[in-house]
Amino acid sequence: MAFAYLAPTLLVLAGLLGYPIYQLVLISLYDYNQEQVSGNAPLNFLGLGNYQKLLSDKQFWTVLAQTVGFAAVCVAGTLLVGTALAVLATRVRAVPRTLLFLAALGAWATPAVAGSTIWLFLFDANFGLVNEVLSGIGLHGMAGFSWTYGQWTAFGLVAAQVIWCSFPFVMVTLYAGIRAIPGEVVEAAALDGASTTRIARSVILPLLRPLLLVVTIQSIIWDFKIFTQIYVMTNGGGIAGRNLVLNVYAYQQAFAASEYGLGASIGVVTTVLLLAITVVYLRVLKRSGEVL
Amino acid sequence: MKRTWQPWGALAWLAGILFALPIGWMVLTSLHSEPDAATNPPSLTAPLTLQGYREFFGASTGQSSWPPLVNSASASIGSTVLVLLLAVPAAYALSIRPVRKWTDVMFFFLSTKMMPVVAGLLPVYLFAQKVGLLDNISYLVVLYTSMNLPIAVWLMRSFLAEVPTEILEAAALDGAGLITTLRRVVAPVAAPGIAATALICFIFSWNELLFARVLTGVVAGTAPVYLTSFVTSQGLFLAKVCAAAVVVSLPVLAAGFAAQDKLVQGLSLGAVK
Repeated sequence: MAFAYLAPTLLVLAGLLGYPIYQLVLISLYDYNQEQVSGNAPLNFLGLGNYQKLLSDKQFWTVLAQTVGFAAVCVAGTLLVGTALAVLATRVRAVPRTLLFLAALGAWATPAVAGSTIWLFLFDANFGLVNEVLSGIGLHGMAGFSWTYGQWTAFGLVAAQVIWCSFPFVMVTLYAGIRAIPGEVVEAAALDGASTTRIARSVILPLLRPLLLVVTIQSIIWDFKIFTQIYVMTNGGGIAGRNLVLNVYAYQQAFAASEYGLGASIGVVTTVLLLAITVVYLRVLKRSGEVL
Repeated sequence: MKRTWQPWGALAWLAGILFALPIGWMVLTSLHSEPDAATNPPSLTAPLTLQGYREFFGASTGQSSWPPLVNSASASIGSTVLVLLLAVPAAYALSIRPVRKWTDVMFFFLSTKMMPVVAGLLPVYLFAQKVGLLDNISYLVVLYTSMNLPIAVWLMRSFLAEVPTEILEAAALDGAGLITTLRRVVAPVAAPGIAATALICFIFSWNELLFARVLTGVVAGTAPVYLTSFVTSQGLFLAKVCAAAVVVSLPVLAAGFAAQDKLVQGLSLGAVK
C-alpha cells in the first residue's frame, strides 16, 4: 500500500538516473565522436581503450591532483568559516544574528553564475574594490594586480568564492546542532569548574561529531564536483587549461572537443571516486548511529 | 548567563557586512552610470540611475532580455510542480506510513545526489540530439525534476514527520482516504515545510548552469546561460553586467528572504531532529 505512493518517484529516478548511467558506461567503451552520433562513421568498440588513453595521459593526473587539492582547500575553508560563524551566531544578540543569517542566505541563494561574475568584478585588476583597498592601505604593488592570471591566485580566488557560497550550509547545520544541545549539560560542566575551552572540547565537540561528519563529507562531495565557478571565473579552465578540475575537464573533452567516449570515461572515473567517498560516508553514518 | 559580550557582537556585525558585501556591491554598481562604475578608485557616492537596467532590457539595442528569464521561470516552476506531485506521496509513504527498510530507500535518494552532473549530462545530451529534444524547455523541466526529486523527498520526509500519528489514525478511523487525509489533515501541518521544499527546488533549478548550457540554445536558453554570454560580450560595461546579475539573482533572493526561517530549517537538511 505505502509502496504505491513511493513507486512513481522510484520509477522516475530509475529512468532518469539509472538509464543515463548505463548509457554512460556503454559510451565510454566506444570510440564515439560527432561522426558516430550522426551515423556517418561506424561504431568502433574499444573496450577499455578510452580508460587506457585517459590513465596514460599526463594531463588527467595533473587535473586529478588539482581537483583533490582544490576540493581540500574549499572543504577546509568552508568548515572553518561555517563553524566559526555558527559559534558566533550562538553568542550574539538577535539583531547581529539576523544580519549573519541574511548574509548567509544571500550568499547561498545567489546564482553561482552571478556570484562568480561579481567576485571577478570585486577582484578586477584595475577597477576592483579589493585591489583599491589593498593599495589604499599601503600595499602599492596590488594596484593593477591580476588575480586571475597566476595559476595559484586564480585557484585561490575561485576557492574563496566557493567558500563564500557554501559556508551557509555548514553554518546553519552546526548552529542548529549547537542549539539542540541541552543547556543543562553545558551548565553542569560549568558548575563543575570546566573552562570555556574545556567545555567546547569535551562537551560540545563530541556531541557535534556526527553533524560535523555529515557536513564534512557533503562538502567533499560538493567541492569535488565544482563546475560553474571554475568555468565562469577562469574562463573555462584557465590559460592553457591550468585551472582545470575534473568536472570542467570532462565537459571540455566531451562537449568542446566532441570526444564523447573519452568524456564519458572521465565521467565514469569521477563517479567511481565519488561513490567510494559515498560508501565511506554511509559507513560512518551507520557507525555513529545517526538516524536521519 | 552572560552570553552577549560586546566583542562578539562587533565581530558578528563585521562578518555579516563582509559576507554581504559582494551582493551589496553588485546592487550598488548596477545603479551607477557606466562612467561612474568604471572609475578608479571606485566611487561610493556617485548619483544613482536605472540606466544599467534599461540597457540590460535593450533600451539602445532593442534586443529583449525577457525570453531567457521567461525560460528560466517556466523550467523552474514547471519542474517544481512536478517534483511536488511526485515527492509529496513518496515522502508521505516514508514518514507517516513507514515502508520497511525506509532508511535504505532514503540512502538511495541521497546517493543519487552524489553523481557528478557531467557524467549524467553526456548520455542525456546524446539522447536529446538523437530524438531532437535539444533547445527545448520541456526537456529541461523533466531533467530538473529528476535532479531535485531526491533532495525534495529527503527534505519533505523530515517536515512530514512532524505530523502527529494520532491525528492520522483518527482520520483513518473516520474512513478518510488518501486525498482527504493529505488535504485536510497533513497539509495544514506540513504546508510550511512543503512550501520551503518547493522554494529550494525552485532556487536550485533557477541557478542551474551546466545542463542548460549544453542542452539549450537560442530558443530555450535560461537566465544563467544568458548571463554568462552577456558577461562575455558586454564585460566592459560593468554597470550593465551588474544590473544583469541583479535581475538574474532577484527572483531567488526574493524567494529566499521571503521564506528565511523555513529555508534555514531546510538548509540544515533535517540533520538535527
